[in-house]
Amino acid sequence: MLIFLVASGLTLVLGLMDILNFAHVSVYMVGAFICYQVTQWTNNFWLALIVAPVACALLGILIERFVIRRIHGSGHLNELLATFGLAMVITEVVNWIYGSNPLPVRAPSQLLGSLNLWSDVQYPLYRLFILALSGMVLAFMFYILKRTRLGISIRASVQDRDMANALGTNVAAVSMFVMGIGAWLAGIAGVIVAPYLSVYSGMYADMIMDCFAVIAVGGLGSLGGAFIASLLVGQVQSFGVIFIPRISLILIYLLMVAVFALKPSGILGKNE
Amino acid sequence: MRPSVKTFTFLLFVAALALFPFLGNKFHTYLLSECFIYSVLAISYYMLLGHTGLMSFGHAALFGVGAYASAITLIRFSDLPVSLALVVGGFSGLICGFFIGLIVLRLKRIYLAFGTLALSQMIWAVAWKWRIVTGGDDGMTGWSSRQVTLPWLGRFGLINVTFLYYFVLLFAFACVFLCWYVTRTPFGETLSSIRSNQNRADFLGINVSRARLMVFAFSGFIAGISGGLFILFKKAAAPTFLDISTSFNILVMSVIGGYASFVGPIVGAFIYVYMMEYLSSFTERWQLVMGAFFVLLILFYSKGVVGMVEQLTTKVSLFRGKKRGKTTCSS
Repeated sequence: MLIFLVASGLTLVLGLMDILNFAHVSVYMVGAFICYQVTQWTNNFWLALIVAPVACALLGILIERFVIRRIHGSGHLNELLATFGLAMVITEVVNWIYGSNPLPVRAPSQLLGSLNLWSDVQYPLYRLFILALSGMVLAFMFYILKRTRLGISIRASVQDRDMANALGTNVAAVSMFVMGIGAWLAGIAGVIVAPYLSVYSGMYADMIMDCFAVIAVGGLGSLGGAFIASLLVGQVQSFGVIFIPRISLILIYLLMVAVFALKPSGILGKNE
Repeated sequence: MRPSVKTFTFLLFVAALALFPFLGNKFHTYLLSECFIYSVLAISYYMLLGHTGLMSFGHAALFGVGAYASAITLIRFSDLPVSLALVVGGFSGLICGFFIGLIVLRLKRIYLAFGTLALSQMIWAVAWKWRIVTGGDDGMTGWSSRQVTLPWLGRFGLINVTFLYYFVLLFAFACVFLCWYVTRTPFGETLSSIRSNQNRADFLGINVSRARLMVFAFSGFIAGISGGLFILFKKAAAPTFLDISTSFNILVMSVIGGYASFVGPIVGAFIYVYMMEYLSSFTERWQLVMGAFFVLLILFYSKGVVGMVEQLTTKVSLFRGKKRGKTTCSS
C-alpha cells in the first residue's frame, strides 16, 4: 500500500507529462524528514500528517514550475536527467542536514498497541491505520479522477495533451496540479512510513527500485495497473524473503524482466 | 579550425599525455590513469546513448561483468598474461551486452531504461550472492603483485604507477580509436540513423534489431575492457562496480561532458574524476556540488561542457565578426 501511495503519483505524472520523475521519490523522503522535524518540535504526529504533505505538494509544484516546464521543449532525455539531478541534490541536502543515521519517530499513543482480530490473531494497530488511511486517500483520488470536472481535465490531458489544450483545458495548470497531488501523496506516504520504518537518508534508494518495478509492471501511466502491481511487488518481496531467501534479491527484477518479455507495456498499459 | 591545425593540436595533446609521467608528479599520473579508464567507459556508453540514442540505465552491468571476468581470469589462471585477462573481460562484456540487448530488443525509451536497469540489478544481485565465484560483498583481490613482461623493455609490476599509466593509456587510446572508427563506418551511420528516427530507419530497410544488438555487444566489449583496466587500477573487484549508482555515475559523466558529441563523454570523465578528487578534499558534500552543477548544466547548457564551450566560441567569433564588419563600414 505504501509503495502504491508513492508509485501512483509517479505514474500519474508519467502518464500526463511523459516524464519519469526521479525527484518524486526524494519528495517522499523529504515528507518523512519533515514529519520527523515537526514531531520533534511539537510532539504532535497529527499535525505532521497535515503539514508535511502540504509542504511536499508545494515542493512538487515548484519543481514543475521551475525545472520541468523550463525544459519541456528540449527533449525527453533532458527532462529525465534534470529530475535525476534534482533527486541527487535533494538527497544530498537531506543527508547534509540530518546525517545518515536513522532517526526514530514515535507513533501517536492512540495508535500504539495491537488489536485482537479474531480470538488469537493479534495485529498491530499502526498497520491497520496505514491500511485505512491509504484506503481513504485512494478513494479520494478515485473520486477526484472519476467524478469531478478536474478529474475529467486530468484524464483528457493524459489521453491527448495537445487535443485537450486545443479544446480549452489549461494543460499547464493541470500539470502543475497533478505534480502537486503526486507530491502530496508521496508526502503522506513519507509521514506514515516514518514511525513504522524510522527516517533515514537511504529511504530514497530503498523506495526507488520498488516504484520503478511497480510502474514498469503495472504499465506506465496506468493507476489501476499500479495498484495491482504494487500488491504484486509487495507480495513477491515478502514471500520471497520467507520461502526462497537465497534469491529473494533477484525476484523483483525477475518479475520486471518477465513482464517486459511477455507484455512490454505492462499489465494494464496500453500498447504503443 | 583547418584540418592541419586540428591534427597538430591532436598530436600535441597526445605528446603531452605520453610525456606526462616525466613532467608531472605521481599523484596526477595516478588520477589521469583513472580519467582514461572512465573515458573508455563513458565512450562505450556514448556508443549507446549519444550515437544510437538508446538510453540504458544498466551500463554498470557491462562494466562490472568485464571487471569480474578479468579478476577471475587473473586469479584462476595465474600464468596467463595480464593483457589476455583484459581481452577476456572485453569478450565477457560483449556476450553480456549481446544478451542484454537481446532481451530488451523491442523496448523503447523509458521501457528500455527500465529493462536494462532491472537486468543490471539482477547481475548485481548474482555478484553479491554467488560467494564461491565472486567472493560476495568481500569482493576479490590478489593480483597487485602481478607483473607484465614486455618485449625489449623488461618486466614491470602493476604496482608501478608510471607503468600502469602507459598500460592504461595504450588500451584507452586503442578503445577510443576503435569507437571513433566505428562511428565513421557505414555501420556507424546506420546507428545514427536509428537515433534520429527509428521508424524511418526501419522503412529504409535497415535491420534495426540487428544493428541494436550489435551496438549493445560492441558497447559491452569496450565497457568490459574498461572494467578489466579498472580492476588492474584499483587492485580489487567489488559488487559496487555493478550497482545502480555506478550506472548513474556513467550517466552523470556523459551528461556533464555532453552526451551528444564524441569528445563530450571523455571531457566529462576528466571533469568528473578531478571534481570528485578536489571537491572531496574541500568538503564532505561534494556530491551536492556535483548534483547542483549537473542540474544547472542541464537547465542552461543541455549539451554539456563541450556544448557550452562551442556555444561560447561561436558567440565570441560572431562578436568579432560584427566588430570587423563595423570597422570596414566606417573606413
